Amino acid sequence: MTSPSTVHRSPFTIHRCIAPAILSLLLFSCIENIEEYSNNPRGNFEALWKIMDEQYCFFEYKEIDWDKIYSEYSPQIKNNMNQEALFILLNQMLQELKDGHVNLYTPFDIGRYWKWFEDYPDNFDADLLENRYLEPDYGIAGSFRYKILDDNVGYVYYGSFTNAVGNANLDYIINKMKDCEGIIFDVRNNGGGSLTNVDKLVSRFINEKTLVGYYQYKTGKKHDDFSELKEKYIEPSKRLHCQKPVIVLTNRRCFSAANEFVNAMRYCPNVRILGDRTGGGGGLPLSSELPSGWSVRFSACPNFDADKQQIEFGIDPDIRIDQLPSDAANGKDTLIEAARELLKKTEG
Amino acid sequence: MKLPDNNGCFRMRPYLFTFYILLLSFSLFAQDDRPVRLRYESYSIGLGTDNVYDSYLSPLKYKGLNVGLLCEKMKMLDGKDGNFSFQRQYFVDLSQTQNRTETASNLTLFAEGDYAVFYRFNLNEKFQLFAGPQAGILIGGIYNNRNQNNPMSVKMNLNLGLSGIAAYKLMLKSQPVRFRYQANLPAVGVLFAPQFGQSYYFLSDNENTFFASSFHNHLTFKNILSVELPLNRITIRATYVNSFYQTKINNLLTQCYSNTFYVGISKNFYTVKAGKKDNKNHSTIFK
Repeated sequence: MTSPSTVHRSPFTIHRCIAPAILSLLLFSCIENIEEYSNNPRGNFEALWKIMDEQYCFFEYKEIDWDKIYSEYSPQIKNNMNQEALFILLNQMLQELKDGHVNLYTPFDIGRYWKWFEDYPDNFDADLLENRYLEPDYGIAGSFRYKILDDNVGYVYYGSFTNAVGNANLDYIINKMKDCEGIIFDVRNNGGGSLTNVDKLVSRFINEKTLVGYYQYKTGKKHDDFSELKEKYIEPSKRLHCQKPVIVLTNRRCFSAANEFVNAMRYCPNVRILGDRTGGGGGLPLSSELPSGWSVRFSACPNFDADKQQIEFGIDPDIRIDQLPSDAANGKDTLIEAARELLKKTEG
Repeated sequence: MKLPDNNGCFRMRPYLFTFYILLLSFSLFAQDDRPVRLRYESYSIGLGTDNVYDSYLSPLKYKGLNVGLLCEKMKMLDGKDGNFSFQRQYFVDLSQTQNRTETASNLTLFAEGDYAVFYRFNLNEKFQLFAGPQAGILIGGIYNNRNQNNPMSVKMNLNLGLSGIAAYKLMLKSQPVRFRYQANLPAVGVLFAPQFGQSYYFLSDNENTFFASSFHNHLTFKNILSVELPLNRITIRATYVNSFYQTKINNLLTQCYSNTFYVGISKNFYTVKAGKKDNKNHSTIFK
């Protein structure tokens, strides 16, 4: 019999392995198990509902009962429905949010909500603008079309905030119109784009750092999990500034970044807004996707004006004017004509 | 001005010259007495598979291929027995992954530097264990080509943790074949994370984007298995790296899991200093 003192002790005895084993178990317990929804109609419906439930930002503001919407649409989901039928149903569910920033992108169609402009007058005729006011000798400076009208009023059209705002282009236009009685800055039918372009453009119309609004973002999955309101300032540009009276023309198709632009321009000196209420789109959209690979876009970060009011449903102009049918028949743009008169009065 | 008359030669006082010669002789004598400590360096390129999940970008898992670079340097630290060593490891990992319907892709780039101080336990002639603290930095991001205002999930980590190595030498027809397993496990640190629904437009405005990290919100480990085969004057090193990276913070979950096979070379170096010569008495980190 071997005495205890002579027993060879292996360095890998059971009790020495317990600590590493427990540590390993603890570590593996920290690994999150990721569960994905199935790629069938039920899985896609559940995934979409959950994405919106956790990340969409206007449930409370719009007083939408998202659980109730689940109850209404969930029974309509059948796993034998084809992709077109599924798309129609999912898009109907998303339209309950009444949000132009909510879209469902599929290879065969894009789900959208366009009521923010479809039910309202256009107040803009591109052909009329082109033929009556711009042709034949207007200038094109980057993304801007411009002309000095007969009555020495400057006119600038900017159709999309997805188009770059060039510093040299703005310098040229501002310098060119320095002796005008005022400038009409037309953003009708501008459906939005980059917020960076908004800041770049507005910075030419302010002379000091200006508070133009607030924003917040979701900090959690509950409908009311939001950060505090954070101030949004725009600094004046170090390049040429416009010191002339400015009238911004708007219609219901001014959306998203254009809505932000109109909001910010309200806080600039010598600027008035003329036309129709903007279309809104005050929630900065984020993107996600469904198991089918379809993309979904939704409002995630609400923006507010400088009085901390939501701008999701648009901004009222200072001067509310619609295009008159009689003017249209006579080849006149009512909004441009009203802006010209206003600038002449202002300058006079 | 009168120049010293030294016939163009530098003149040294006799006692200074004697002192210099004695000092030189002593240093050469001391150098000869001690083994030259070799530095270990290895460079490899790799190919493997990557699994990427980032709930800030998508609720779906993305899978695809990755390419990587692995650089490792080790040297013995000053000390009588040479059992302390310093290791630097650099990983660069680039992957392109797709969702399961292949309608969107992620481009992921992680660059990582790990710095460890090891103590060596010489169990026998063939088997060694190393263990010690490790500090690391990771910078990278995951870019999703479909997202508009949340296109990228930026990753930044500073870590402190532990690392361990088991090294084994097998003689195969009088040639040493070295097997090595290393595990890196960061424990605490600091990490960057956006808020749950924060657009990249607003990242610069937020003061709360760096957080203390530990296993509850950040779990990362690496398993590194390598074999080194001598071939003429160089050594071929084949390495398998199993890497796991997870952060769970602000209700956002990121999980990246990769298996990468590297092939490269490794070599032991020594620095020849002026006035000194190799005494052929070498000491390597891995026996």
